[in-house]
Amino acid sequence: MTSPLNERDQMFAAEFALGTLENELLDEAQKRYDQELVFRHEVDQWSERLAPMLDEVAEMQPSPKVWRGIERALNQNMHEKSGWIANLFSSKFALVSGALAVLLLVVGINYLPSFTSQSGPILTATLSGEQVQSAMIANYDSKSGKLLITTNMRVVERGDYELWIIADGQAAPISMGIIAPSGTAELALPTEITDLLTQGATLAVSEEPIGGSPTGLPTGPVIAVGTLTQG
Amino acid sequence: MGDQAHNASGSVAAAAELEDLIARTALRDKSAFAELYHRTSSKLFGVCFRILNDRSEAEDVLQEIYIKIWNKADQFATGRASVIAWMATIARNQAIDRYRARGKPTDDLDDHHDIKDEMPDPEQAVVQLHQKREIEICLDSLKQSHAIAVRQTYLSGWSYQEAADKLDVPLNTVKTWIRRSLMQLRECLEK
Repeated sequence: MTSPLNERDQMFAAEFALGTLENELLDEAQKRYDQELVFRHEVDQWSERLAPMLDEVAEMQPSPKVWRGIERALNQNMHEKSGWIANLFSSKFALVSGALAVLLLVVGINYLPSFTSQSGPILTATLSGEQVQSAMIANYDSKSGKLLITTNMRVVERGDYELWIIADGQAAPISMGIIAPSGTAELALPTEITDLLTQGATLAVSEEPIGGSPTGLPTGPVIAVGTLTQG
Repeated sequence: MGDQAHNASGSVAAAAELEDLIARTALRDKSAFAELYHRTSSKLFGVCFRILNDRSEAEDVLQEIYIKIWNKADQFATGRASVIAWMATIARNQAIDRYRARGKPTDDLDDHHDIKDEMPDPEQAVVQLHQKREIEICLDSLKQSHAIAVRQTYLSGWSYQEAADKLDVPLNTVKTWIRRSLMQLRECLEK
């Protein structure tokens, strides 16, 4: 598989996966892993290659106190952290743009684009902009017609993010609804939209007034753009 | 709980179940997370112990690892690794972090070198045979010293400097060995 990274970065990813990096190089790699999707994918591919070596490591049973400690820590954390799930359910979500009935389903069991089960061709897009890298990742399963999105953007103070599709070769963006600044969600879309989700179509996120664009076209700054490609 | 071994890695169905568990964990489903822990903790604990060689320290780190997994579960969906490889990456990084912070080497190479007695049990071995063969065949195709360097950096958490010290070669030499080996491994595994 060809990587979009240059050779130096490919090696950097490999060394991070192997575990030989130290100090500031390690910090840099960890930061890039968390923030740059392309780099993360390169590291993940290396982890996948190397992980079978772990099969030779003997498994060992940890003592029950480890799980008790984890549970304790989670219980302490749970009410401190609202987490992204709270964003998903935030009041803004009730205001999904009416132009198109976009039904937002909270992600359920088996929502992931499975690496193992049968699915149609998967189209993916990574949406980036000047301010943000990997603001959103979209995975579209053309067989099931489901679009899975994961967003990673800062919260807008007095506004919402709206997702748009620009069909291949077309000029006018069409609204796909309002999306949460961060989190993962599955969008069940009408066929008028899914018909447009083809290789080469552009997805874009713009900042709009609360409730979405009043005109049906983007009115605020475009935060991130990406193209659907197969792979 | 020897059955954990078989569920934690191997069969496609088990891998799909782990994906399901991590997806539910991302949705803050504690029972799914508990099940994920039940299925994978002995594997990850083994990985930590291999690096730290100290039971109570490894348990400490294991706790940190699962809290990280809980907090980062939604990151998994955007990645390209299998659940177990993704979790193992978090585990190794955390254990290596601890290992380097204490600045004390684990025991000698000899103690870790003989992998025969650490082979998985036969049933597990069958499931893993295909993958295992590939990586083992590819490691075997490397020069022995290079294969040791790769194996020990990965499994025991050696840094480049440690690999240089333990294998008694200059730092730059060991770096070259490992980098070249990684390229060869990639090529070999993609055949």
